[in-house]
Amino acid sequence: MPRDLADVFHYFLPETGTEAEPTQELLGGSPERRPARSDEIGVTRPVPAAVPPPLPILGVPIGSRDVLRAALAWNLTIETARLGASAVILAPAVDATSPLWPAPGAGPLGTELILSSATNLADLHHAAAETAARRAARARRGGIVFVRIPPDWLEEGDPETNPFRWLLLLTSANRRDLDEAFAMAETVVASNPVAEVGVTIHGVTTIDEARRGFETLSRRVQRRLGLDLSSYGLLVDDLDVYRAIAAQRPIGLAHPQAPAARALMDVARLLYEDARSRVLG
Amino acid sequence: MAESWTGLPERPRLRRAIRHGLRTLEPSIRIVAEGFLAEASAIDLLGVGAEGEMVSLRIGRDEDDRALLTRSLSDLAWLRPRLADFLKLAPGLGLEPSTEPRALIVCPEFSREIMSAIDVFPAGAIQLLRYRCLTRQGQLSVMLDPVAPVEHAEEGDREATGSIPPEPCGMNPRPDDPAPSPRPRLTDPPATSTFRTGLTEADLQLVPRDPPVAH
Repeated sequence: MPRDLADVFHYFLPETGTEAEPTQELLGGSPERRPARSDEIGVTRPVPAAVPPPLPILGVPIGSRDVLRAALAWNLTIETARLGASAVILAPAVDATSPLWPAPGAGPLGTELILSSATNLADLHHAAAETAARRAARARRGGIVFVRIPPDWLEEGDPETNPFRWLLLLTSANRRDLDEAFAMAETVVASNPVAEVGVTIHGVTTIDEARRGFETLSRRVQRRLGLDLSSYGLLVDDLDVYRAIAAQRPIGLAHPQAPAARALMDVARLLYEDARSRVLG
Repeated sequence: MAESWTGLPERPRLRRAIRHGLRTLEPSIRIVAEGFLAEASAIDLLGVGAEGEMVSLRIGRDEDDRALLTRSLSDLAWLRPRLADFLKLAPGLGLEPSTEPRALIVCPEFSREIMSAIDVFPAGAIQLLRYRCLTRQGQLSVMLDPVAPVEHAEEGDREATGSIPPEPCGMNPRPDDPAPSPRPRLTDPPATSTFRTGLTEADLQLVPRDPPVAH
């Protein structure tokens, strides 16, 4: 049974002078455009061996000076890799001179930080999609392409032109940040009405505090925007987080038993489980 | 004037008639292959739906519905990882890689077990269509009748092993059929707006640190 690209590639090339076998039907355009067929309908040969679908793409709105959210996103990438997934983070090239990220290139546990020359959402998503397809080929257990989205790109884009379909908002539980998260959710909905938006509450000290923050935001978003938020747990901003930011070291590797590391692992697990139920973000 | 078809039509003829009937029932589906070999058997009709999703269509005769469900599930599992292949090899198909394949099972009738079984899948992932063979001016014609989701809920008073007899119907959905709900992914996203965490309060307790070394 053919299971190789080369075995079937000729099916998709233009036909030459010889007649195609009457028992084969090519994948082509609409049936109306094809020549009339006889009544004999046989078996078409299969497509090649399974090529994994691209990794899901998760957009994370992070401001150009938002070191904390960038650090959380970077650490989530590493924690996702610790779960056995392929994890990469893609950011606009304007970040090259910012303190948001460690040096581009290969990181711990097979992670990678890639800077893209994209200057708008469409190009950024295109770059992410290419990365997602490339990484998928060697990601036996799936993974996630995290993408930093400059919030102003979302705000300045034309309505309903945002190609990112899965986004994660990181917000603390205080009133002002929840208001900002609501405004961002509103922007996301305007830019892509079918986007799925998840929220991780950070900077909390108890689970109840995170739950109340999430429920406050989700009720408001549901009532005002008609959007159901997905919950992706909570993160802790303890001393280890800030030390790790300063040292640009992964929290989960430097302090694996710290509450911050446990919380990161838990959020990464929630994201990874959802990612595995998707074909493409 | 249409009359019931007597006997069993030849499979290619039946396939062609159903393909024709689909143009009326689901005009958004473009059939791109017939007799397309999947994992172990040929998919009767392979199409692309309105959202760029792959659609496997399996045609059966009486008593075939259980086997067709198994094959349709196999089709979904087989098609899903090959979307990238199709996209690469036939970019003109209009496939959308973020969509999940779905399956149509076309049978003269369906058993209650099958109708119950497909309820475990997200709505739209597997759809059932009944068909009746008619003859119009000597030509084979089929009447396709979607088995509406509401029909599944009304099955409680039927015999557990009974089957749902085919009923005369037109090629279009009945006017009082509920509007189809948006088709979800094969695996639905998590329940929304419910706070989720796998942590306990104990996980958030600070770990005692080593005392600083006195210099």
